[in-house]
Order: sequence, then C-alpha cells, then structure tokens
Amino acid sequence: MAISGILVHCLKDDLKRVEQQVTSMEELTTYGIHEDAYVVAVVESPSDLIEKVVKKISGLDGVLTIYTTYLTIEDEIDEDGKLTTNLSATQHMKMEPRLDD
Amino acid sequence: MKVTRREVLKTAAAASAMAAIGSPLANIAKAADNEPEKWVKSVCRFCGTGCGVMVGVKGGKVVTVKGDPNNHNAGFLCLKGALMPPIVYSKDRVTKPYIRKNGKLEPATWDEAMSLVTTKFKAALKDHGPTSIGYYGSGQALTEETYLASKIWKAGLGSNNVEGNPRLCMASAVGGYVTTFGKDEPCGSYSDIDAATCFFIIGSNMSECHPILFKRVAARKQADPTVKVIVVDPRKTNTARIADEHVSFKPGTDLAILNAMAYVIIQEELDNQRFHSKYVTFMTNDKKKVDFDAYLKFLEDYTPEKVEKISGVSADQIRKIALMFAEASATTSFWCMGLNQRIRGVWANNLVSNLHLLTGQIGKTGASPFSLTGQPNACGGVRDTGGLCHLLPAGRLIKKPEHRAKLEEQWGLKPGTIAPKPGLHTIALWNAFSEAKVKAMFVLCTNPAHSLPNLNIYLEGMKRKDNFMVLSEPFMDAETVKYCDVLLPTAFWCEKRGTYGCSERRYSLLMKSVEPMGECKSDFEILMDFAQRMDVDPKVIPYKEVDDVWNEWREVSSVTPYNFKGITRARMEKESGILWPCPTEDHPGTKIRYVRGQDPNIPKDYKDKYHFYGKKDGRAVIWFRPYKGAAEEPTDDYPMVLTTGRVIDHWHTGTMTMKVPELRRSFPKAYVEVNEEDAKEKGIKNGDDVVLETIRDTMTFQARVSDVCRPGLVFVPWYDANLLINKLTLNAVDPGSKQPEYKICAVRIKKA
Repeated sequence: MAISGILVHCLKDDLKRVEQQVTSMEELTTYGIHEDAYVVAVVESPSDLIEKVVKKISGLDGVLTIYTTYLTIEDEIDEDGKLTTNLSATQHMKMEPRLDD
Repeated sequence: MKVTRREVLKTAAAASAMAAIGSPLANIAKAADNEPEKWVKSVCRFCGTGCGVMVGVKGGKVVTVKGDPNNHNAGFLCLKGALMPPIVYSKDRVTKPYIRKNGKLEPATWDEAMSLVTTKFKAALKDHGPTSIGYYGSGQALTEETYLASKIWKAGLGSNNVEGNPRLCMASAVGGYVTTFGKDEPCGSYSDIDAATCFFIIGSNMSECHPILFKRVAARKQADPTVKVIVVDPRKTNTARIADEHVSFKPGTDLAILNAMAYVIIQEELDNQRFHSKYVTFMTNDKKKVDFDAYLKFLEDYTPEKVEKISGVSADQIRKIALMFAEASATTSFWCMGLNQRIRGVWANNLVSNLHLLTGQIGKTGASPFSLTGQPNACGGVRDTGGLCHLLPAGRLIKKPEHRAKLEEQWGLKPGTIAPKPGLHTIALWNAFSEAKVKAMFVLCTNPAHSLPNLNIYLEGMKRKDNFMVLSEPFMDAETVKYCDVLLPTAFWCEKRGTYGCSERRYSLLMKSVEPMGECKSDFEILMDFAQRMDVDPKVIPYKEVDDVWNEWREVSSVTPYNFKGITRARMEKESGILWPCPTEDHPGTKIRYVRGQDPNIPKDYKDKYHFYGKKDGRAVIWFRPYKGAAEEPTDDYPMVLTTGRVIDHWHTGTMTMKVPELRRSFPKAYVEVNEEDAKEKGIKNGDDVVLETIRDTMTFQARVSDVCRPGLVFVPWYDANLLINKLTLNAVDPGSKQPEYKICAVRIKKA
C-alpha cells in the first residue's frame, strides 16, 4: 500500500463541502483546510491505483486541481527488493481498459 | 501511545503537503520526516519545469519521492513526478546488453556489445570518413553526458554530426532568442510569475504540459483577480479555463495576430519610446537596419481588420488583447511547442519578443518573454553545452573560426582539431541514416522510432542492413529497441549523478540515490568506454568521474556570458538549484539578464540600465517578420488541419508514464479530438472510429467529440506506441532552426 500526501486546490466557496466529501472517501484521511485554498489529505492506496483516487477527487465540483507532494511505496517492496504492485508494460497492455471507472 | 509505522508515514505525507503551502503545522511530523534511511536531492525526470524532488531510500531501494521545499516548486509536484519510484522498478527495465542476431536481440556481455559497436564505428570512419557517423542525444540526458558526447564526436572523432531531440522541440526558441537578443535562453525567471499582472500564453497548454508552473500562474490570478490571462490557442485547452481572453485562431496565422497587436500598441501610443529608441534596432527581414517609421509602415499590412480576415479573430479581440498586454504594469509571455514546431517558428518567437521590446515589458520583475521547454534538460544539457550540429559549448558556433580556436585552446587541443563545417541537423541526419550515408549512429536516451515526424521514412531506414544503430535505453518497450542493432542497459534517473538545467536557467544536481539495476551503467561510463575503445586522444577525455566533466564545463563557460564558474558541486549539493550566469561562489545566481545591477555580465557602473550584450551595438532587435502560412495548408482534398501534442497523464513517447497502470488507463490509447460541428457534418459520434488520412499515411482513431478544437482542426496526442501519429505528421523544417512543423499538416477525416 502506497501513501501519498496531496493538496486539493479548491475554490474558496467550495472548500468546506469538498473537505467533507474527501473525508468521506475510504482511501483518504484529511488534515484540515489551509490557506483558504487547500484541503490537505493523505491517500492510502496501491500505487498503481493512486491515479484513480486522484481522478475521483478531481471530479468533485469546486476542485481546481490536485497537487502531490509525497509518495512512498515502502510497503510495496517485498523482501527480495521487488515491487509487488509492478507489472510489465506487456502485462499492462493485456489489461482491459476500465473506461467506466 | 505507540505510533505505528504506517501512522508515521501518513504524518510525513501530510507534513509534506503542509510544508508546500507554508503551513505552520508542517512541523507536526518533523520527527517522522526522516523516515527513509536517507533523503537524496534530485530533480523530476519529466518536463522542462525542473521541479526539485527529494528521493527517499530504504534498504538500497527508492521508496519515497517528495517535492523539494527549497527548490522553485516549493514542494509541489504533479502526479507524474510523484509516481517515479514504480517506474524505476519497472519490469521492462533493460538490465543487460543485447546484440541483434538473425533479427532478434540476444543477451551479450558488455565487452561483446561494445566491441561490436566500436568495430562498426571504426569501419565507418575508415571507409567513409567522419561524416558517416552520428550521435543522436536527448534533452533528458544529463548535462555532463551531452557535453561529453559532443566533445568525443567533435574533438575526438572529427565529426560534427551531433544532434538531439531538442531540435524537435525548442530549436526555434534558440533561433528566436539568438536573433533577437544575440544570446540564447530566457531573460527572466519563474519568479516573474509572482509579480506579473498580465500573462500572455501562446502556443502552450501549460495546464497539462507544465502543471506546476501553471499552478503558480493560477495561484497568482487567484490571489489578485485583477491579474489578466490571455490564452492564444486554436484549442480551448484546460489552460484556457482561467483565461480572461481565449483567442481561437485559424492554425498558422498567429504571426499575423502578433504583428496586429504591435500595430494596435503603436496606434494607441502604448509603445515605450524611451526604451525602444535607446535599446532596440529595427530590422527588416533581409537584415537591413531601418527606423521606427519603417516599422510602422511594415505593420500597415497588419491592421486588426486585415488580420481578422486572415486569422478568424475579430478585430475587436485583437485590439483588446493588445491593450491588455501593453497597459499591464508587468506582462510575462509564455510559449512552447505551438510556436516552436513550425516552419516559421523562429519568426514567431521573434514576434513575441517584439511586443516586449516595443512596450518595454522586459528586464523588470514580472515582465519577460519566456519560452517553456518540454524536457528536463534540453536547455541545460543540449543548448548550453552545445549538443547540436552547429554549436559548441556556451553559445559558440562551429562556423566561426575564432570560436573553434578559443575552445581548442581551452580544451588543450591542437588548432584545427574541430572540423569547420557544421554537421547534419536532426532531419538531415536521419535522412542520411535512412539512405545509409550515415553508417553508424549512437542513440542515447531518446526514442526516435516514435518521435520523428513523417516516421515511415525513418522506420524503413532503421530496418536497413547496411547501417548500424546502437541504443542506450532504460526501457525494453521503447519503439527504437525494435530497430537497434545493439542495446545498452543504461542507469536511470536516480541511479546516477549529474545535472539538469531547466527552462529558467536553473541548474540542479541529481545526486545518485541507489545503485543501477542489473548490469546497467551510467551514460558517462558508457561514453567513456566507447571513447577509449575508439582510441580517442586521452587529452579529449581526461575524466575519472562525472564531476570532472562538470568542473571542465565551469571553466569553459567562465570566459563567456554563460559563466557557471560559481556553480560548484559543493554548492549544488547544498542548494536546490542556481540560475546562471553565476561568476563566483558567493554570487546568488541571476534572475534577470541584460539589466545593470542584476546581470553580472554588465559592469555595475555601466552607463545605461539595459545592455543587450549579445549584440555588437548592445541593442536587441525588433524584426519585421511577415505572416507566412504553414508548409502544408489545407486543400480541397485534405481540407482540415491535424495538430499533435501531449496530455497531462502521459509524457513524450509514454515509455515511463505508460508503466503506471492508472495513468495508462486514464488515456489507454491515442484518440482524435473532433469539433462538434465537424462531427455533426460527417456523422461522427463520440467513440466512433475515425479514419485520418494525410498524403503520408492513413490511420484510425477513436473520436472524442467536443468543443476543444475549433472547427476545421483535429488533435491527436502522440504518446501511444500502438498508434504512431507521427506516421501522419510532416517533416518540413524551419529554414533557420531546422525544427519540423509537427503542429500543422493537412488531413481529411471520415467515419470508419
């Protein structure tokens, strides 16, 4: 499981609502509203699915954009030093695109 | 209370986000902040923004990336940058050398691979001379690697056939700066964003291609709603979302619009006469010095009404944006591939600088013409150190005998070592390789089998048996791997040490974080091995380690206006990037060039405030550049315009970003963006297969119907190796910069 620190940049009037919506998401822990513009949050998700979480937040009304400041995959490296979530591009290409996500 | 490791990591992640916005709560995780065994300073591997990153290492592996709070990005990263660790450990990494045998790449030892490489290069040199070998590098290679490769070829092997992919993305910006100011690279810095009151963004989708810089622009506008943003782009991109004025124009007519803006500025008496009368030369297209009145006469062909007919932009909107540009207290312009990838790219660059010189919107904080770069080290590696066929380090030119002589003296080589004739530019070099006139090519850190325009020609050339290509590449699935004769496993990003120089003249050190994977070697080691096996004079390559190359570059630059003398390795290890010129170790770096008191190349007691020292008379040039259309305008048979570009989730040829499943899934394959009106007329619906046909090839893409493209224009992103849009694009080049016109070609479309 990867852990990522993110800043959710919002329109001022939407900050409270966005914070509540982000807080309700399973993969996220929020750390308050800052600078009248940002919700600070931490995502816990397999690294190969983090983008999906970010896209979900990006789709909320009032969200301007998401910035990432930190990403650790420490938990995803096995005893042999291999990345457990990692797939080869060949494997990726065989996976069906999930356009409905 | 016992805190679990997971909670510690979460706190560190939150603290990193808070630190980026300067929250006092950032110190909640001071104790957790050193969780990896070590943090190593580095730079993001993606775009030319050059964001600083800190690489967290644990157990000899990269486990964490966070934004460097002390670099210009202040801790912010886009998602691509944060997702670097999984890319390092991709299963597609090339970890041992390969030699192609009977059409298939077979594992080999380093000695076998390098022996074959040098045998082929020596044979080419012996049988066909120095013009039969070539080097094709990259704006992603480290500065030291490009400097070294260029020196090996030009001084060691007698060949000026040294090129790189920056020819494809920013050669026109170089040509623009050099012809206007006499020296390459921007005058200002990213800090101008924080003071600008007007942003003029033309030919750039900053929001998707330079997201962290766009964030800074958006934050500036959010902090001060009086700040104006003008976006000039035939597509209504995400960047245009924050624009006060989005100017949608007929592709290729922007030169006319820029001249019309100059016309309006003068008509409204918003030009800065004191500035341009003292610091500017007015010059016709055939290089005759003339006066201001001649310029006004030239501009009479570009009244807003005349240009409305050419461009499709209303005269009112042209007037409006001209006034916004000129009346603002500080205007900064940004541009990128939309201006550069054109057969009149140099002229388009000149015309943006014209507006700044006409209004005096230059040389003060917040006011600057600023070209953005696409790659992390195109400026730093290739432009500054002379990694192109006509260049020598620090802006010197091969064609000038005094430049060659001075460099030979600095390098301790006998006079005449460097051949006097420039080599072949990128398209000419690959044409020659395709005709097997260039017999042996060394490709390093780039993917030409995906990125060259009019690609079919070059793919056929790469398949030939009577030429030879060695490729140094980290990823097995790069298209060029399919065609190379020898594949060398190269260390990737944090597995080696060296320097990147980003769009704002800022050089930052990438410190080695971890050992290279498998048998990978750094390109410094690979190039040194190659040079030694090629019997290059040891005086050409007197290096034991990569830092020796950097120190030589500092010395070479120190007698030129580039001047890196003060950017020592010790400083780079401590500081998060320094902007050149930087002549001494106590110099802070230069944010504004050509201004007394700011630019160390100008004496403090110089008589005038501004000095454009790249020009003999100290004056920058306002050029009379006429409107000229594209190389391939739409016709009755091919009535629409095809343009290409990037999307936020993928970078260049996708060899890195396509390895992150969710990035891949968000844009699984390339598509064609079609305007609603065009789609309706042709019966195309969202998701339909659409056939695109140019005179070069035919391909099918899934349609995305929207109002992003203006009618008559279609857009296809170029990252997808399974749908190589460059089979359709055009390889016509700008006569000055030799940069191809990727942005415009004629196409017809129909529902499949």
